[in-house]
Amino acid sequence: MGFALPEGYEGTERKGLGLGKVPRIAVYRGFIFGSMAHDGPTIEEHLGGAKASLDQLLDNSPTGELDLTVGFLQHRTKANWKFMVENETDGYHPGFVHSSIFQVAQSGIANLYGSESTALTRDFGNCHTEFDLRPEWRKLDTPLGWFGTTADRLPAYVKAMNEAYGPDRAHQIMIDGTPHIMIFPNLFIAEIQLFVIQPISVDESIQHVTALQFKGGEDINRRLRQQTMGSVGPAGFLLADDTEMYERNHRGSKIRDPEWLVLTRGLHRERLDENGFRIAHSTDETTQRGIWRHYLKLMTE
Amino acid sequence: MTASHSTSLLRHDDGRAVEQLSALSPLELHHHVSQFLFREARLQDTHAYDEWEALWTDDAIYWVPANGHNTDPETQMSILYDNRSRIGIRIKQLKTGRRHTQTPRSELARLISNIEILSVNSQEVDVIANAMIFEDNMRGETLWASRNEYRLRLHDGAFKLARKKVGLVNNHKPIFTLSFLV
Repeated sequence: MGFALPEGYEGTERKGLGLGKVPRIAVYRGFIFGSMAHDGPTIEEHLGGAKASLDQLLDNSPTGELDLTVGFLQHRTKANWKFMVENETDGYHPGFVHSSIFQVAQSGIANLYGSESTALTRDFGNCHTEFDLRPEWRKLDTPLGWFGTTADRLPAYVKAMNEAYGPDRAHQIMIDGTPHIMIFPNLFIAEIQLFVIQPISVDESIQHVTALQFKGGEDINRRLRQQTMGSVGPAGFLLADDTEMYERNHRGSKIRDPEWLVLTRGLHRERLDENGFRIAHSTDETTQRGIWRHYLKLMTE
Repeated sequence: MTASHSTSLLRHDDGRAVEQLSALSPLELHHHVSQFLFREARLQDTHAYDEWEALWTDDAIYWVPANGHNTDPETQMSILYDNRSRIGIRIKQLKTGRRHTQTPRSELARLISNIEILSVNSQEVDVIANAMIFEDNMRGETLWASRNEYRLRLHDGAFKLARKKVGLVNNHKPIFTLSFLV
């Protein structure tokens, strides 16, 4: 740090002055995480099982890297940030909140959150939660089916993937697609886009969102941008309705009676996966229970 | 009321249909352009979705940039970047009655002002104008301001909208949900 007109500061010690610093920074595969706490879990401890979903995401890039340089939309929201965290992996709402766009755009998304779906909700602990859509994509068994397209429509991307991973592995990656994961507290990856949730005050948040872009995937990147621009941001076919619900629910929550919400959906069919994480049907509130269980721990420890 | 006011057909003062925009006097052209923009504003304010959709050409571009006014919508994120087909989806979604952010609909009144004609050829005219929109909805009251750019095209004797760029003055900042027709 320097002083303007320094002769006026003679005898002043510069050490310890200057802007505040983020005490701890850690990088996982290009994602930079900052913690404002001087002590706490390492990034590996914090991410835990969620690391696998970041790996899954980056495997969809032929270079193993993202290139997030197309700009973020900033969606101002009169609601507490936790409404967003809770909704990002809520599979009960899409069939109702998004029925308008599913109806007019012939989207297959609705089926992922219907009663016949084999997709899962998963609670990774530490407030990280996801939809695991892979059971549905594996049933479909079509490379890029997760993205509503086929390999012949994105030839350059498919070629780059085959060269990078070999045909067998590339085939599996392109069947499984990208994750849908809420990484606590503020990073949300939703198949084709990435959000950062910024709390402003108790009743205001900003949803920053950009299209996922794979370094070395020009043809898929264009489609990722087009679809992201259609779905999210202030005018998005999806997020404008989600945001309406955040704001309505925030206003509704000011009425203190009843005091509690029921979050029991799917409790009877919740089970552990092979890694010991809670899973249930894609519309079950395993994810919301996981978030609040850990949040309670964080706030009372 | 004369025919030129009750329909959207462009006519010369003597009643002849307009075939070349360049044949109009500057005053006539400005009048016809203004009437078209006011009509578009009214259709938007009153949520007359079908009539508004019918204003667009088949090669239409409807663009609301983000993060500045000179971004490339083909490579950068925009708040809205619709071709004709996506305009159609937007309208269909609004008409389902389950576009929750527009249920109830925003109450709107907008002013279109500072209308300037930048260039004209026989079939197309490029126009700029400012818009100020007052929105009232369940969240509260919001004021929107934009510097707009339009390309209008003469089609079957009436103007159609070939291109509209809505340059929100605060598009580099977080903005509330923008789900009415802007």
